[in-house]
Amino acid sequence: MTARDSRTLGSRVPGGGRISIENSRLTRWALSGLGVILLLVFWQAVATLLGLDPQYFPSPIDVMDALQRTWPTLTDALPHTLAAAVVGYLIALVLSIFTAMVLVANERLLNALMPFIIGVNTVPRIALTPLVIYWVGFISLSATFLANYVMAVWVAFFPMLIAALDGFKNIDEATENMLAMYGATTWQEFKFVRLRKGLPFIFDGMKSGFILAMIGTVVGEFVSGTFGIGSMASSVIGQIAIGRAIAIVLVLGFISSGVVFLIYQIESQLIFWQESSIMGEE
Amino acid sequence: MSNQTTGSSQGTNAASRESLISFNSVDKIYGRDSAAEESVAALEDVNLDIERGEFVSVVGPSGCGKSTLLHMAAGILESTNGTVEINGIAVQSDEHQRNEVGLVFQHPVALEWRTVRKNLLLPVQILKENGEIEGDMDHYRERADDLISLVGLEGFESSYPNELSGGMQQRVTLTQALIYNPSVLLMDEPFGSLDAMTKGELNLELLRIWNETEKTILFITHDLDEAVFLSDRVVVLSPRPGQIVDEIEIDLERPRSEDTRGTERFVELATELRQHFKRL
Repeated sequence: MTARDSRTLGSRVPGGGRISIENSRLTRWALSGLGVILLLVFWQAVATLLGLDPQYFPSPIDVMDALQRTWPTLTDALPHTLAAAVVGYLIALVLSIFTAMVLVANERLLNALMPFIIGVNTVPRIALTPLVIYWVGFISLSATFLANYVMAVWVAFFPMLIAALDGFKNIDEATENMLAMYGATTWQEFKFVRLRKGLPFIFDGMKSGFILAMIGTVVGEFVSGTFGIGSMASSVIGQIAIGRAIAIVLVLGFISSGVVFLIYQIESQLIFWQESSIMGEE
Repeated sequence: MSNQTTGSSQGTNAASRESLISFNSVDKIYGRDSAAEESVAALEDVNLDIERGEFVSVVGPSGCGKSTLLHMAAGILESTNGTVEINGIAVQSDEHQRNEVGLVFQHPVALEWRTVRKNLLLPVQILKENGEIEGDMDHYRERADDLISLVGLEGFESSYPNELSGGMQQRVTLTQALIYNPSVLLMDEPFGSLDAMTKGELNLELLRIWNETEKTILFITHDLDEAVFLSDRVVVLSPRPGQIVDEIEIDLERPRSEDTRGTERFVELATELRQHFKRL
């Protein structure tokens, strides 16, 4: 019996299929843990057995050691980076949903702007980081750190906009006919149907959007040298302290995964009528 | 009234009685406004008058414009030529009253995040906000409960659509069309996707509801037996472009039951209808 089958059974016959779900979930967690441990052991073994120079090829133990030493600086820098990434992310999210609503409500405008949106979404926006920093510095030199916020918005906005557009347009003919039948206004279409039907798409955009906002901020700091994780990473790499660089990247990875997991939790609460794709069945 | 003066070539007796739904020389051509698409004539010169309280079915080969006919009466589509009137008022005019018409769709359109009761009240919310219907929400909540028991969904008021079977979802769609008490019920192959047993059951239930609520029903189907079993009159459309090629009065006694399907007259009428079909 597959996990999906047992899930269905579980919901129909309370108690009946539950045990197998718990088991398979436990097995999944155990396998994931085992995978991580095996990978770390392999990495440590290669580094030790080949006698690699820890300055260039640090082992997991070296990385942990570096993390410990760099921790005070890291915790100083982290709030700056997180503030820019989270605030930029939220601005991009609100903007993308609002813009998508306006565009879906005005099909002509949408058609006119679509080439631009797809175009901007396709270019490596991160390559324009120096330009963003330059322009923000042009407005106010004392607020260069704002460029990191702008970077988060700039990198995360377009993919989230496209996700929201897809979401709001995700409406089947029958539902469209029903709305036309009752003479629903555009706002009513959104209020009663589109905002809900769009949620799965919007949440997918939100998950990748946060990772993008984080990248945007870190690269912004990297290039502008304003205090934060990005500039920290850039300086330790300059010092060829690879262990510390890996430690910093790991911390960022944990934070991003944590936020994505949080978004996923909100999603599964909000979209109770369908399963999310990213985490599989629970 | 303008629709009374329009000479109908089909209904010889319809003109003298009150017609609730009337199609007057209706043509529908798709894709005529855009040069890129090839235009397709879906319906041609359709004249059809349906009296208050009548149950009329429309049958025809697939793609003959059956659904188009219905969607024009629902105001979802506009006719290319001719007018569709409900109660003597053109559906496309501003005076058209949306609360006069209910539509039961081919597939259930219940919204997944709304419970059965909330799905039922959706049309009321929309129509009320737009000032198309009067009355307070409590009145409609009560009515929703009545309808839920009318179609036998007691105990499922707080269920979500994905917890219901296809037949039950279709019952929800039916109650959704009845909630604001329209006088016209348009049904677009409502039982087409259901298994034979559920279909038979819902056919009987529909007749019971029709009898109790005194609606006027325009029913689209490709099931000829279903059409004979339910209707007062069956209208036969030709292949595209759809034209009315025949109308058969169904003089079977009412109330009808499962036994009706076994009567000689039923078989006769069904055979007659099938003959018409072979000729198409």
